[in-house]
Amino acid sequence: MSDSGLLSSILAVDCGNLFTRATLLDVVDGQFRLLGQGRVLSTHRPPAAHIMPGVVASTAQLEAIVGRDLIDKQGMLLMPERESGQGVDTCVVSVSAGAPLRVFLAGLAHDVSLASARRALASCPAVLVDTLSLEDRLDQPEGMIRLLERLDQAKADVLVLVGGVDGGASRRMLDTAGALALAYQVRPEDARPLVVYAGDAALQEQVRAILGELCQVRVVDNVRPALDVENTAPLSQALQRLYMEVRAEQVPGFETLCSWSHAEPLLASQAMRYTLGYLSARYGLKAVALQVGAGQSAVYWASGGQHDLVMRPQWGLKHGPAVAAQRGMDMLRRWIPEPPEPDEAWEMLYNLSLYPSAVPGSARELRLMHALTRELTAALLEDARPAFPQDKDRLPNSWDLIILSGAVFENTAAPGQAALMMLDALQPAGISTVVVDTLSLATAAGTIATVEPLAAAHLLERDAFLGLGTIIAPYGQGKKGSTALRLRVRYEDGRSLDVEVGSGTIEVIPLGLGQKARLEIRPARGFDLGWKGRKAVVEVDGGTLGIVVDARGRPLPLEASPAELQARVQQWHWQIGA
Amino acid sequence: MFYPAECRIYRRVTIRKERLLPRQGQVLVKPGELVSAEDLIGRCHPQPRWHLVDVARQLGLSPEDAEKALQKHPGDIVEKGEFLAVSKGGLALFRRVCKAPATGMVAAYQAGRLLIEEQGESQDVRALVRGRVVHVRPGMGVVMEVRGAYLRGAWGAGPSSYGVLKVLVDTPATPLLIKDIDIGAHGAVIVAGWCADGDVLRQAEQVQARGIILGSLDVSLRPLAEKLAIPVVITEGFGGIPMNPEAFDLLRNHHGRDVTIFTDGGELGPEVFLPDSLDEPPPPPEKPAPLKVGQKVRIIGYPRLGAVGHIVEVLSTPRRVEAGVLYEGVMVELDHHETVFVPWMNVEPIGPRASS
Repeated sequence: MSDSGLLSSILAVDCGNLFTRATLLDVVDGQFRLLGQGRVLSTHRPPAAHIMPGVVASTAQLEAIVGRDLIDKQGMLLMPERESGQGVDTCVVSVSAGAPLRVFLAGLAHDVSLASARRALASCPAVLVDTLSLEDRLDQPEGMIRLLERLDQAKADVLVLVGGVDGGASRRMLDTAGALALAYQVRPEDARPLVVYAGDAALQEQVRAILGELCQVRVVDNVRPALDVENTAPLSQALQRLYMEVRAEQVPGFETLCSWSHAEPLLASQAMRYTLGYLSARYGLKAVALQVGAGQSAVYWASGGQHDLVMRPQWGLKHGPAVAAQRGMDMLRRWIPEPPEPDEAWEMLYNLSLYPSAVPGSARELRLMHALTRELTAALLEDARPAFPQDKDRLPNSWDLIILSGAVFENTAAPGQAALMMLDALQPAGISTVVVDTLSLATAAGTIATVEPLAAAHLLERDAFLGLGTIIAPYGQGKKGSTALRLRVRYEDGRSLDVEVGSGTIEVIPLGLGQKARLEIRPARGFDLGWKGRKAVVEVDGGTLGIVVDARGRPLPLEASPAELQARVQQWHWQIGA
Repeated sequence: MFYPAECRIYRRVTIRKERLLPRQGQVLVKPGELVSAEDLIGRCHPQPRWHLVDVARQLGLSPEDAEKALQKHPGDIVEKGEFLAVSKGGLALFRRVCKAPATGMVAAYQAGRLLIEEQGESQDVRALVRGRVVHVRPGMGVVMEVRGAYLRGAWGAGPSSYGVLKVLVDTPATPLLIKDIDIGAHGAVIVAGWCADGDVLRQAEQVQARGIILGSLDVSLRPLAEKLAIPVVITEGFGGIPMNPEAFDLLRNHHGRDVTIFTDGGELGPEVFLPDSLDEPPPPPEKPAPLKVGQKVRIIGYPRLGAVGHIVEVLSTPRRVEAGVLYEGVMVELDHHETVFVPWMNVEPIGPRASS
């Protein structure tokens, strides 16, 4: 504890599906700084089947790094910090370990309330295991008996019941609730998924009366209170709370870990969302984060005081075969300059899925993993794009800040690899700063903000991100061989550099980490950076890559014969140094 | 300082295995009982057949009136054709009746509709592995303690099974061929290096082998393996990868003895138990601990997936792998004396851990 009585040392523990991380912050010269991080494989699965061995091991690793005792011989946290400097003042916890919530969705119309419920689910660590609608004819014996079988197969944690606008027609909604009550009666009590009702508000009590004696019923505001009004937040929040409750019961050691935490443990996705919201609000940025993990992936965005996310559990790097099956193996192979034969690619994807913690040792494997990252992110962006903030004064899909999170962006052979994966998947337009969330500190910052916002702010400003540089991506298309942009780069030391960037190419201009430069940019006819094609002067940041001008056009020119596209992709890799 | 979470190969270990009944039922064993693989541990109710009777619609009544007309209620046993409900009032000649479509139990009633549960034959559940029952979950299943050798495969498909172990090849790199599988494989769990021929898998199923354990399987055979009536386990991955020598040696040492394959581990992978009658209980699986010099390890990443060796040096600075990425890691001397750099993330301990 500092002299002022404020918190000084903070331990942030994040239990992920693959890794458990323990991160220590302390005050150095009046600022919160990162002292170190321990990282081990998570232990919630057998053989340990307990979350705490991983937590203790990551903290022990951290102790060795920082030279400070954090846990006692019994494995308990030394808290608050001792006068000797051992221990910590506070501890916060975020969690994403454990299987996603299995959700059975029941409602009336696919394109109304069920569509809204699906959008509410998209921001939760939840998988949709089945959907029941009016089309399933629960009034007919076949429909009803099929429901019994479907409930058996679904093994759902929760059943979300939606339907009807507030005060609308009630019969069909009550019939559905009645059919569920009939089905629940013949199931063992411990096999009846809890019901979250987010339908017609006028029927809340009737639904409780029908189902309440059979199972736990939670009621939240209607996801579709009127045909033209959607309200997904209450259902999303209820499901996020439920995830924590269900996992607390199912993940051994979760309760012990909670006892370490000074604040209510956060979902890791929630923590990341807070971070993005903070960055957007504090600096007035339109920001997006792409997060690719072994077991799940997510897109977060924030702008003008709003922040949201779309996540897909069971859609990560270890789900390569599923991604390739859904997107098409050729869609993956098109991103690889010398692609493996389909059989070899399938073999590698299956083997990557068997050993999700293993890292790519060969260049072929690394290229395939990068191609997989592009496609799984592109699929996620297709879900997220309709909800992205629209701003008439900006180019479509333009972002001030792009955060890349996950080991696949961190562990690259060259910074250009991370940048190219992002450029190919997100295809941003305009001028953006791109950073890599090293050590998953953006999540830690979101968790820390719940107890000490200043510490989170210091962490984000100083230690959390590794700058790749600035992306300049004009919107539009140009003829091959024509000029897309002309730039004059004025460095801080007075030097200047004139660059002409050809249409269809990528150009990297050196500008080191911590350096700034002023750019005079003149887009050619047919290209725009948000100033209706006019010249502009901007100040940009450097990074491990520098300034990247992506003049390939938007959308990317991917329509070509396989041989042509392969040559084009090879050029892009060479041009960015990937 | 990296802590690998899992060791997949143990020569002597005590493992607890949960054996759940597929559906709720009756557990037939008690804590402390020793059971063999073929012993019954429980009996469960089969998946019932459901019959929905819309009483209100058949009798032309409102749900409230239909409830008053019921002659059978939830919990009642009914015979096929027996009256479930009879509409009251008017002449007896004109009364409407609602009959049971099958013999069974009235399971539920809701808003004018009845559900009848028709039960089939109950299903026996066997232990599948030799061991001691240490815990009973009434109606649900048991936890068993198994002593002996254990290995966890990388991938598996098919039902759990048991049999006598038969190693059909001399080296972990030798493929399984159709000529290897004759009637001698009947009732056996067969072992070979790898397989790239679907006819071989079909032949094993045809002679009623009890399972197949391989180092690897050609990726094109994955769908076939998922459809077979016998389990297929691979220890390394897909492709033409030899079985790691440690696993092969372990299996060869158990040739002719009991083996059990469990394929219910989900994404954790299948389990192979090789139970022994050990008087002294071997230790349980080890907790995560830092890897040290001398530790025997298996490599779980390309380009040496499945190779086995021991750690000769823990490096203090990262090194670049062939892919060009920098990683922290260790130097591993492989069994054929080549020493290679391997990132921490790509090694897995083979128990027990080095004590140095």
